[in-house]
Amino acid sequence: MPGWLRLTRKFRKSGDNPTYFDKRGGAAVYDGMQERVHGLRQGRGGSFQPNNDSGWDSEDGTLVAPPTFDNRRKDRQAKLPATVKGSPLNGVKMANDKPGDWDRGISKNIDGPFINRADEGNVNFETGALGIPYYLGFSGAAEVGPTYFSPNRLMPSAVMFGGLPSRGITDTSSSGDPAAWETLLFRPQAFANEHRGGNDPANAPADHYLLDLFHMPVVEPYAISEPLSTAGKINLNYVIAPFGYVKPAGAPGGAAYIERKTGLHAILKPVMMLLVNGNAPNYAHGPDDPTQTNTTFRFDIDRTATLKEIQNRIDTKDFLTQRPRYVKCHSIPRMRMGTP
Amino acid sequence: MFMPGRGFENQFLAWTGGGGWQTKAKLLDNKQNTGPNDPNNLNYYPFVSDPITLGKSKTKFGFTGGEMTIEIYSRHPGGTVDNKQDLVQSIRVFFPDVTGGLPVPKLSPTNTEFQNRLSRGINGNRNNLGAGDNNSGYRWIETGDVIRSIDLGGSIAKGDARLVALNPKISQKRR
Repeated sequence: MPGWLRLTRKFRKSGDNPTYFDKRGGAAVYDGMQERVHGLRQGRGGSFQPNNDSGWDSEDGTLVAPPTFDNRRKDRQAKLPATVKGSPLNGVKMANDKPGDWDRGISKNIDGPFINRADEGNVNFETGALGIPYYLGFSGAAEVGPTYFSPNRLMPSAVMFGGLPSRGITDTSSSGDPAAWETLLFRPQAFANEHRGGNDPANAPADHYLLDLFHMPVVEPYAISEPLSTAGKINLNYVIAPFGYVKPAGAPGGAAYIERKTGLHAILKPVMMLLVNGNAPNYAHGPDDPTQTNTTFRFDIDRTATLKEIQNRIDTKDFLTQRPRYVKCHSIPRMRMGTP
Repeated sequence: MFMPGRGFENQFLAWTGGGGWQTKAKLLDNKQNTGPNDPNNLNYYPFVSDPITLGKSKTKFGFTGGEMTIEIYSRHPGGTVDNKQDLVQSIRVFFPDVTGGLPVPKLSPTNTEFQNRLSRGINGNRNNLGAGDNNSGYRWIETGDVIRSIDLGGSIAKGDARLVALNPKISQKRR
């Protein structure tokens, strides 16, 4: 990949002003008499000694603007500059000034500008320790052996590319410099012009059309019986003519006489949605032991409500004019009543 | 000048030609002497400049900044390497001048010898830079040190490290 990037990148000539790097903390701090001005962090986000953030270091910026108070987990901070162009970094933003794209670390692992790192597996079930895979830090990973290794886990679909910068080489619509904090959009837009790469005609084609270039077959186990096998593909356009268009009066959710949604139910069943309230302590990167909290952050998909939206798209013939794609449909979480 | 950080502790060797991987920088032992020039010896931190002597009466010193190019190569164990072919990424950074001067560093009360910091892990028993010593480097920064850094706060990156990771050539510009 670096080879063709080198060919396509247009570098600015010497003397141009835009920069990748800048003085840590801005000019006033960099040129001041404070002894230590740096953002050096350990791999897991903790501060170096001799102390944690307590005035000896210029404070890190934030991925999101704190709602009422700064409740980041201090020993697992995202590695960010303190300032951008000399101004405090108070929430990262895309070129359109909307909130930027970044990855969330599982459990207590740090957030940051990652590229949707593949899941290499973790079979850490150490007795006596926390013993829950993915919930321990730097020493908590237990590499999977060949029994559990799965290439489909590493790359379950091309949607994994959604963590890549969409204009990381050049942004031709603006200065030509790369666009920061903006990745490929493989989800529906909540509102118009929220994010480039959606269905906005001004930024056509949409990012999700890139997915047409890829097909990820199910290879483990491959279907023993080939007839009727779909190689892992499930058709969103599930209506069976003519029965699918016959909807008995009073059927729940406007269901048709015969429906073919079993595959969609199956594929949505294990999917969970992470929702973190902005006021959650440590932004839900703690406690280290997840059994020590009753707060729910991962929610099941409400399959009935989600499939109803798909049905609405079918009923309005939306799928007849645009290629069916689940990334264009909103997933609706099932909020469990009674949980804090 | 030194360059701390766990990423630099045990991973970086440079191809110097002549049949082996070595570091281009000095290897210092715990007496600040040049260490054995052995590419397999990672006990000594390499990225250290010559010492700069200041008078006792000095309270400030100047830093005129400078330019540095970091080249990252793919390593071929036991094989020949072409410097141009195997250059993965080149990052050119520029440290701006510090106006008005910086406070003179004070000697650490606990670690007057720099090499000792490398052996002071959080458990006190991390004595080299081997890959298995997870906590080495906890005490690389001590009270009395004076540090100035640049970070990804420029108008292009805005803190997004992905932009630096994906471009094979990063060129920092003077401002």
